[in-house]
Amino acid sequence: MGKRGEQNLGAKVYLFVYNALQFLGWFYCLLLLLKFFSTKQTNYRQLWKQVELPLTIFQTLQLIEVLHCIIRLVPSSPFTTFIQIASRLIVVWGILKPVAETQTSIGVPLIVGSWSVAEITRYLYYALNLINCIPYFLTWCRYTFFTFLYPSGVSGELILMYTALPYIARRQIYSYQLPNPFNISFQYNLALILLMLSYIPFFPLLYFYMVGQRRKMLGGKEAGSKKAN
Amino acid sequence: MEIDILNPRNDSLIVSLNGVNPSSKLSEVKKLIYKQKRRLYPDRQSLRLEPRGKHLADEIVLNTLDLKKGKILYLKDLGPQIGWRTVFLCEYFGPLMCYLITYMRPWLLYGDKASLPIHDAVHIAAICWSFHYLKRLYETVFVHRFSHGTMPLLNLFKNCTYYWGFGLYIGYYVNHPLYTPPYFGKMQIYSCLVGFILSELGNYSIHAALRDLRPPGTKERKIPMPTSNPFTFLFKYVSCPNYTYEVYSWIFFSGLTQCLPAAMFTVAGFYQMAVWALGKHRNYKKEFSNYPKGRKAIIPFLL
Repeated sequence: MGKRGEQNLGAKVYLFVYNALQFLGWFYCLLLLLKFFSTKQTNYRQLWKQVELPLTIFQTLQLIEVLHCIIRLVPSSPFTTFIQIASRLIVVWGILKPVAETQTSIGVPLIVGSWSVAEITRYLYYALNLINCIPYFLTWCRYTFFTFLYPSGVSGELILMYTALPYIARRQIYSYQLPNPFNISFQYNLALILLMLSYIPFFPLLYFYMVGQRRKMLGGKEAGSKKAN
Repeated sequence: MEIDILNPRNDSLIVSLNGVNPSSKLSEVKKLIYKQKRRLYPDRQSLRLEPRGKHLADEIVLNTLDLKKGKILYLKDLGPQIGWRTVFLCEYFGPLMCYLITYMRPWLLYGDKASLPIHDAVHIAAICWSFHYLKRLYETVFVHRFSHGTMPLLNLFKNCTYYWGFGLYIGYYVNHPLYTPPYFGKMQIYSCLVGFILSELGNYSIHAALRDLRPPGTKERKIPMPTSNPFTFLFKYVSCPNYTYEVYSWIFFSGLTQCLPAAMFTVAGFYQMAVWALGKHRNYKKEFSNYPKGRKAIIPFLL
């Protein structure tokens, strides 16, 4: 996130409200996860059923961030933003909803936990950044939590996709077969395998990008007193 | 005179040149740098006045430049380079080969259905595809004159992935045993074939006209104008009619085959060519104050 230069007040207020809303949404998801664990339940489908609605709403709502980028409300690239959101939307809309068998997977608590904690820190950071009062602690969280949230979230996503593969192949979900007048076909499970393989180059790329960001924002290892810029 | 050549990233000294003739061209300066830094051959070098400044052309003479206090030039390393012609030959040979492999209906790709009868549209499409890429290979060797000798090596991999991949992807579906022939039958096939042939002739005419615009062995640039060849009339309306014709070719090929992957290739190609055309159009306008006003970049009257 670069400096948001001369942004007008309306845009600032809007972004603040949006980020605060997202923060609350993900906070609610995290509460549901904690509630689930506190009742010592073990069937992850129960967790999914409870968290499904808010998680779907707030994850899908993130699509308007692509719009924010297009109309230059925020300085990021719309393409990168979309890619980041897209893989999660595939997990929610393309795996968990159509392939109910995946809902009992360990991947469910992994993604709910990783996504919600990551988004809580991220949106709180954005919101407070707009009013220029980020406590150092929050900056530290934002640039530290990813070290374990990113691998755990990606593991959850990959576990869910992998679990879904045989069911998708058997039921031919979202597949389009030849012959047809457009002379094209689509094998959803094949596309998912390609997507999973794409994590191999992209995961390290993003992870080490974040490591670089962390070094930039937090300075040296022991620089606990150094202010974030 | 003395010049320090700095790295624009961190202002560190790459090399210090002594006794340079102030009336030498930048191309000669690049050779002097190369003498001391054997890794940085001239095509790899881009000289600038500022760390983030504009690339300076080879023809510029040193003493016409407004050199900074310490006689400083910045050198951006463009990375390993490869000749345009090599890249072109690789990137056009691939789709020809990949497509023809699928045209042979290999059992490996299509299994036992491979022996199903082949529709006329499939044969015609294979001829069109092959003709197009043979034409491009021919033009690369005998027609094009390149103003820049090289491009970054990475482009070779990017371009080949794009062309080879699409060749295989489109070929797989057009030559598939379960291929569905065009909805309007012969009428669709032959009208698109005529359109395709005309577009290819147009594309070739433009390439030939552009070649004749630039005398052999020079990097001279002129405003392109319609010639006696009727296909070149498009120069009246757009700066890059070769791209316009190329897009038409692929629209007709997509219609001929009625294959969505071919249409996707058309859209991707159009996007890329539109970006290039807008860039070239801008350069023409900047370079020639008398550049024709009504001319667009790639689509007559629109873009």
